[in-house]
Amino acid sequence: MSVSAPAAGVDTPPQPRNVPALLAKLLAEDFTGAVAVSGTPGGTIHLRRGLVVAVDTPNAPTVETLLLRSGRIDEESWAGAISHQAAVATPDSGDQSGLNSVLTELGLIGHGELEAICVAAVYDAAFAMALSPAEGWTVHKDAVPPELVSSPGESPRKLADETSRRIAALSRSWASLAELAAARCRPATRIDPGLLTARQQAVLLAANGRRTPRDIAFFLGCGVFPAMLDVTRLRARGLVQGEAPRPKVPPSTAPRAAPAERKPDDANASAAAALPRRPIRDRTTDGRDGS
Amino acid sequence: MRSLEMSLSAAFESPGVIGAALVDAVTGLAYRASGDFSAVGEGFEIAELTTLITEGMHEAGAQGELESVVVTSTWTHEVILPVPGRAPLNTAVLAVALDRENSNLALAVREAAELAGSILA
Repeated sequence: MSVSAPAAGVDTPPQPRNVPALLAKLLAEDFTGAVAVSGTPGGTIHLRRGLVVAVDTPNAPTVETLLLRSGRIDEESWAGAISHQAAVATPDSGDQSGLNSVLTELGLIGHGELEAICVAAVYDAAFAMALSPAEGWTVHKDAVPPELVSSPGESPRKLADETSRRIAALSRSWASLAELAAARCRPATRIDPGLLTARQQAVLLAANGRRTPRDIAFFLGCGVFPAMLDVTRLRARGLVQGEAPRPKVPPSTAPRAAPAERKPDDANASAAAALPRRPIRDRTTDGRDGS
Repeated sequence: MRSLEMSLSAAFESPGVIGAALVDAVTGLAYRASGDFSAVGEGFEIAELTTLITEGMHEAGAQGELESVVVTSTWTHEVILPVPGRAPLNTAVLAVALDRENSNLALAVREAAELAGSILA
């Protein structure tokens, strides 16, 4: 079952004016399901009893990406965990913790560490979604949650406050967050690696002139907000420079049709008509005639 | 299998502890907090402080890693310890607030370090 944001002018009860207000309303209703937010790129917010357990958006790494790309769990062990989960899962088991339990039972990661990563992923994805305005939303009551979720979930109010704080923190050092998110970063100068922390070294190595902070986050297996924070701090020290994104206009190209085949438009036709024309010579009275 | 909140509650077994939190060392997000944490401050302030010290140490050419930060005010101690065992780029810190009158700082630092070593297990 799904419910969309109503069109303007329809006589309905007052609707939430933005996503945080919607989440506050769903918390009061003890709602379990998902909110699909449309936008560029948008995403899906998963709720259990009104608390946010996961946020999916193409703009931020998932828990799986964080675990694999950071090297915390290797690909082979991950595949083994997925196989193990498929083997033990039964439709009637009613197990809500799913892959979280499998990963900890197999000893691939501690329960506390996985909980922290799932919580971090919720806040990071909410921040990444907030970088572009939401265009609308649809509420799905029977949506299936992702495999890895935060438990018991995050308060919508705390999520909104933390997202606002993150946007304000970055806005102090970079005027346009959209520009920062799209800036292609590269090292600005050479520096002795011994003067940098391990994290700074990793970010500098990842900043190859083609990657944006989002790309760096996916490459290193860390959050988008921490990657943007790293870039702003390194830029403040003069160690990184960001190239502004190129404007999205089509490149100018030469006309493909030959000039002779083109039909002149009206303006060109009238201009051509106004030009002086050479009088046509009557060859029958030409004085050069040899007769 | 213990949740972070249950693990944090173990900090209160040490005398004088009035608040504890596990904080992301980069973003300042408080993953979980317990007790009266207003004495310690916001998570992002803790992260900014530890980042400032860590980066400053490296910039000055210091070797090794930060082991602890202790801030003492008139009424409280604040103990901040890096939490080992996570992926190298995703670091966390444990922050514990202590009532000065009822705590032994040396003992509190030692017990907080033990908790920091086990909280993510």
